[in-house]
Amino acid sequence: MKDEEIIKLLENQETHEQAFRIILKTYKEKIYYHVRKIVIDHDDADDVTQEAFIKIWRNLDKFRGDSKLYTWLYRIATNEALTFLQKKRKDNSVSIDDNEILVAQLESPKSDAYLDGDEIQLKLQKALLELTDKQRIVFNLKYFENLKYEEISEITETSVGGLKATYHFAVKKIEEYLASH
Amino acid sequence: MSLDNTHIKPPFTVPQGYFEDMEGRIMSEVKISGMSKFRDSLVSETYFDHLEDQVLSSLTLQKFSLKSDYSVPQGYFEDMEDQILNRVNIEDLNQPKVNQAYFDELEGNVLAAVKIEQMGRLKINDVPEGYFDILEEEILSKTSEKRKAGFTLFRNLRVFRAAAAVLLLGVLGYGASLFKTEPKDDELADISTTALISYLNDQAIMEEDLEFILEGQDDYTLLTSDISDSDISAYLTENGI
Repeated sequence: MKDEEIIKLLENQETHEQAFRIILKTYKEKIYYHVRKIVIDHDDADDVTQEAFIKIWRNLDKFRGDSKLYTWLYRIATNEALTFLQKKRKDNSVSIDDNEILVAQLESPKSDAYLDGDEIQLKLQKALLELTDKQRIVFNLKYFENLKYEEISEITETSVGGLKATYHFAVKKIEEYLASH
Repeated sequence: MSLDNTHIKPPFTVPQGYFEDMEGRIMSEVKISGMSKFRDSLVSETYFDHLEDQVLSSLTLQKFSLKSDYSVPQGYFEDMEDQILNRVNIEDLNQPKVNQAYFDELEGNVLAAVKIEQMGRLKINDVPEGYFDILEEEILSKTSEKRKAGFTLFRNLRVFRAAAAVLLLGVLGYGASLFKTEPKDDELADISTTALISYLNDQAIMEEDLEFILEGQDDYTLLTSDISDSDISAYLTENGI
């Protein structure tokens, strides 16, 4: 079902739950993997994805169709993931830019169970953890999700010009990391 | 190695059957979160005062009914257990299992969330009349004094570099806007990625300078901020603002 049809279901209070079920069915994997790339650990991604969907359910009334449905969903999930990371770093008493915990999680034997990449895939993930959260999110959305800058701009509420620069610096940092490791 | 010419996939996998169960789990979470909203309004104020008496009297009635000679269809009790177990199994299938620990924490979590919401509401009502009218003015006067005092050579250089970047990006943006008839909010959006990248590569502008100009915010103000009033006031106090 297309987003426009889901939005029509959302306009009617009686079909609200049906709309939510369709959103859940359509976007659960996309939202999960988007969150997973931010928080790295599967259990954390599971918690954040559930929280994000509950937030989506609670805020369905507020969706006015000013932005695209999927960018609205991604925005809530991104926000939820960033809030989670912020709390996690605070709980572990590390600075807001520190990705040490995430690197440890990526390398832990527990993570091995839910990692299935070759050497270069894992290396790219480690390189990504050299970036700031914002650079990582922009890179993920552009490189892996193949979204347009205009769409990423709606999700991150950042100007297109800023995103182009952020993506450029992210790619440069990653290439430098890959060349030196 | 250039990332533009390769496409590397993320290595993440999930446990078997994870996505199949996910819908059910989230729907039950949604139901629970919806129920917690109405939890307090479902019973009348005096409900718990009479509850004990009601339970005791229904137990007494049950004692009598057990002694009566009502007959049941043959084999009824033999089948009953299976029937109930079947229904429980069906319910289990519809409602995925949740850890017992989850329910232990649920009430506390819901009550804490309600308390936080109430505190938030109180905070808004507690602000003295006219407070917000003078707040902006006060903060601006204090921050401008602070900024003046803290102006250093390093900051000066950074502002010069930033200004240079703004100027050059502005020229690029103006060039692009000459070909447009309607004004746009984000002029930089019109600059091609190639032009922007070659500009960035040619100039000695640091990454943080550009972030400073284009965003004017750090990672944690990227989206809707969750910073509390107490965090802000602690920050202001700490920095002597």
